[in-house]
Amino acid sequence: MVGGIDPISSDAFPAVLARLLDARDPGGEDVAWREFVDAYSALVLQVAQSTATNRDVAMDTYTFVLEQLREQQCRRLRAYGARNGARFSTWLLVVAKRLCVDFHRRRYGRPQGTTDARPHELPSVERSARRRLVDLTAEAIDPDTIADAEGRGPEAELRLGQLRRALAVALERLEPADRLLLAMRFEDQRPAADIARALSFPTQFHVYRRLNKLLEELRAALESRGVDSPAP
Amino acid sequence: MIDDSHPALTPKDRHVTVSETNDPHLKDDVLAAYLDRALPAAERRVAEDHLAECVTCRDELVDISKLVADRARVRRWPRLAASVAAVAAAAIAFAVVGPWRAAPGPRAARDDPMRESTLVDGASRRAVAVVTPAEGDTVTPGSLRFAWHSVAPNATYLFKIADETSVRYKIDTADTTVVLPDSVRLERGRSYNWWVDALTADGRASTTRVMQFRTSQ
Repeated sequence: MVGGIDPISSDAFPAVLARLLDARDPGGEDVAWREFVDAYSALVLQVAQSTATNRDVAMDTYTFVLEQLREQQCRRLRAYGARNGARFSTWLLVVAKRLCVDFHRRRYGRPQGTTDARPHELPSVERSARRRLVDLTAEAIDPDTIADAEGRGPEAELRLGQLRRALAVALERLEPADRLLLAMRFEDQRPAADIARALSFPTQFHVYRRLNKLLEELRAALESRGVDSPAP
Repeated sequence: MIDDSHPALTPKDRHVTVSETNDPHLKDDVLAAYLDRALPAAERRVAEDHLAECVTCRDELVDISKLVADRARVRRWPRLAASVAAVAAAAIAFAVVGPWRAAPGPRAARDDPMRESTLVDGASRRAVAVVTPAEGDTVTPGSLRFAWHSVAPNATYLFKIADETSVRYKIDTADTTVVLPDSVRLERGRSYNWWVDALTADGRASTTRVMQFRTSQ
């Protein structure tokens, strides 16, 4: 296993799926469906369990996913074409996960705005930008101690505007992968281990190293525009 | 469930689809291919561009990558159990014979300062282009030579070859070819996987992805 790649990638288009999609009569489809469920039941159950709070809900979710996969002559499964090179098992994880979300929305409704929003759900772009800048300059400044917009003088407002523009320009010039990395770390505040797994870094230490490199680049870009401090 | 047919999508957005809340999100197959590192570079950039802006897709990416990792962990256990005896035998041999030294490569990993300071991944995860053996090739074990194209000056490469249960040989090298040492003998009529991870001086990583070949009978 290297960088998230499984050397055994035999499920590009599994035979069990081909038999199911090729079944021409109801009897044959039943047999092929049972075979398919045997092969992928554990995967679907794993996804269902990951989204449920208890076993009953997990089993309801599992049943829902299987029903959705089979409805209309396996319409959803027919959408898999291995076109982008994704393995079937990974594709099925994505589809099953999204079906689980559908199930929970149908049963419990869409999540409403909450007061205990995760960091990335906080609406304040300003806070996010300030946090980035603090990390960017590696100074031990608590972002909360930086003055809010109210109570700032015109000069500080101007300065803050310049900071934001400079940062936005610097971020915009980064590669998408680097912007994604920064978003996961500083907006979502994901642990480095999660980021490493999601973005196929070998280890979380590689994440830190890449972040340090990016922050150095951003710091240099800001300094070249006359920004040398996170304070507005 | 996600609706695949939204009239407002531009050609640039063909990687994204539109959810029932009318928000654009990555398509099932694109997200899966991204996780499998199977997207071509240009399409990967488009996906990353979307991910950088879309917290919903980032959440999904993280959640599903955990599921993929969990599955891989579960699948590895039987293979690991099967190779326990072999590992134990190797450990005994190691203790008896003495420290095994890696076949001399241009640079061994522990002596390589570049490797120590490596920053893997990041922006352009270019693929390392394989020269030989290509995916699905049947080769003669005795004359086997692995070759790939250089990705950058001063890049180093981690080459690995594995059978169904374990890595048979690995080496850090600055070269773009590897010949297996005599101590590594490949069986005839068997499939093997090999891959190369490239590390460049500025900390970028790329890979050949896993390539499979078969030895002739």
